[in-house]
Amino acid sequence: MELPAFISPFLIGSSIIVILFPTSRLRGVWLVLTISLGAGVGLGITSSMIFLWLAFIGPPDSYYFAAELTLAVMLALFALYRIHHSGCRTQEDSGLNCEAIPGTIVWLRNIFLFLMLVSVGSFLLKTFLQDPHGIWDAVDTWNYRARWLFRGGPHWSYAFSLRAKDGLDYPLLVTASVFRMWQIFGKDPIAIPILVAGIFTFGSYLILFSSLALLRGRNQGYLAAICLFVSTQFINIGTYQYADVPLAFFILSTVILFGLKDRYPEISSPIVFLAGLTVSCAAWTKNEGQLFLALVIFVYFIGQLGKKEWSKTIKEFIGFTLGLAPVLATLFYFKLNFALENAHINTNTLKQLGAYLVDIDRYILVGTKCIYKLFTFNDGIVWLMAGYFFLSGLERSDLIKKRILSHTILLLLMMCGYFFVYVIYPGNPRDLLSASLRRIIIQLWPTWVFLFFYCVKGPEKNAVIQGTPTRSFKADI
Amino acid sequence: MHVLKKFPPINHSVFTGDVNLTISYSFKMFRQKFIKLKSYADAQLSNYFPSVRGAVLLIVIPAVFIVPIYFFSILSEIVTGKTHRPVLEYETRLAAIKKDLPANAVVNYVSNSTAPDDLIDAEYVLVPVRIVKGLKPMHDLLIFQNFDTAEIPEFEGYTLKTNYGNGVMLFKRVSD
Repeated sequence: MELPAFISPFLIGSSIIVILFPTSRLRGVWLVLTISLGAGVGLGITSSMIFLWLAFIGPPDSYYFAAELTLAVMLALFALYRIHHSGCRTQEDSGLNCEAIPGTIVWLRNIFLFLMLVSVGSFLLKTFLQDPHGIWDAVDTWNYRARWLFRGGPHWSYAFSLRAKDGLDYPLLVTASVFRMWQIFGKDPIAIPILVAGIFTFGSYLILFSSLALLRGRNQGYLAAICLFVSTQFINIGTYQYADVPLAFFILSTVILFGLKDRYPEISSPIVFLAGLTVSCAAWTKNEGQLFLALVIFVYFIGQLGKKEWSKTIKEFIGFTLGLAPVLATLFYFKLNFALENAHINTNTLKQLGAYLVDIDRYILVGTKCIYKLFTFNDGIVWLMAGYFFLSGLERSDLIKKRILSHTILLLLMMCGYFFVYVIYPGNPRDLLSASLRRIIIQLWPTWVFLFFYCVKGPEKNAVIQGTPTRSFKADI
Repeated sequence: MHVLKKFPPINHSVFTGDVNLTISYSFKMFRQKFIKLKSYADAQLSNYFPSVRGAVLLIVIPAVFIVPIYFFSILSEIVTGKTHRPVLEYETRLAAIKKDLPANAVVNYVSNSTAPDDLIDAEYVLVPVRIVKGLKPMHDLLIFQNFDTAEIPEFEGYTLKTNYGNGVMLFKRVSD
């Protein structure tokens, strides 16, 4: 019943991807990637649009939805036109159908489908029957603010008042997405935040699978997704309706897009544009996404200046900035006009910054807790992965090593950033660590799983890394 | 059968009681069978995936158990009623009073609940009513949530307007 509200974001997001990759027809693994990535990107764009409408014009009415639908239909028509005139062959297998495809380990695919089905069941049980309104932060921040935007009428901006002690400047992707769908229905069924949470949770599994299927082969994609299924903490936090899983979705999408850029250098311009869009959506989801945005620019552009041609890097950066601009502009507008001061980093806490930075006890406390949590996360899943690594070994392709280096640096810098946020926390870091460390790990976990399975040996029947930097995009699809 | 051809069956009629010889024969037969079985299993496994099979099974086998166990743990929590769902309870408790509160009104809120999320849940359920915890500053309406006593409390400056019968009461300010 609630799915029609999702048509516009889905059409907008998917059409943008199809337009940017005109040679990829809506088939095969590309279809899975297009649908899952398009769904998230579409929600990012429409949440930004509806917030701007609310802020400048007032509560969205039929004019807004007509405009949004018109945009979606126009983009879809343009995408169909591009597909129709691209006229190239494509990979037929989506990896999710039941036909036996040569090279596919059938039982591995069946286990993947079985686990997907069981996980969907777990998600539905937990959300609809156990915690339909989500857990603490969802009730206190994300869904609470969505309710204010929807029910508040002319007083909707009370959602960003001093009522809350925390989260005064949290960005609005999740909140505005839920509000948008409620506004379409004219009522606020709890199925909507559940649907949004489900899109990002299962979108992450599908993006992980489809990207590795493209980069390393289908079987590696199944295996990586199975590993993420074993990480039940991920789906668990997905059911909480927090913004951590949507952020994990956008971080994963961004890293994957830069991975695809290395694989298909001839279509790097549209890919970096799309990466700009996903990074801005990450920043529009949570404040940690803004740290991610800064680090992406640092690692993928500033860090590449000496290695690549200047002109190429600058050209890519311009494409990236163009993708970044629309949603990031909305974020700036929100931060300047509605968001109150950050509870952790503000003028008062900045005065204490020097003292915290030289407090060795804080480093020991945060470092110990982080290491302990990493090794015990999800009942010690890192040990399972360590076992896999020792049994399988690294893929000894120089290409793989080169390709994962910048992504690994990016994630390590993200972890360093989180580490220092804990160190400079104005209160007792122990409280913040116990409240958030598990969620912080979840934000990066799917991307770590992606990188791990990108660089270890997999169960491919033909254990050959597909593609080289010189291999063409058309040859692969 | 192939193994039996290599090792002729022991003739029990001429068996002289040499236990060591019998054990040796049995062991060799067992070993041959084991090697054959292993090579067959290897060939079958290689048919499915030639590389890193141990590593793959290390991920797949726990997954096949853990994911369904997670599903059944949620199911059992729901069936046995172990789950505490405060927001749903508050939605039910406060449904009647919500209709009597003017939209965007600012109301005082007092509760004898010790739950840490009491105020958060009440605020969430009552949107777009603005909640002020406690009695100061005083507003025209006061919501009281009573979780443990049967008595109706008295608040200075307020008089009971409606008792909803489920521990939820609405007080109004006495005009000066």
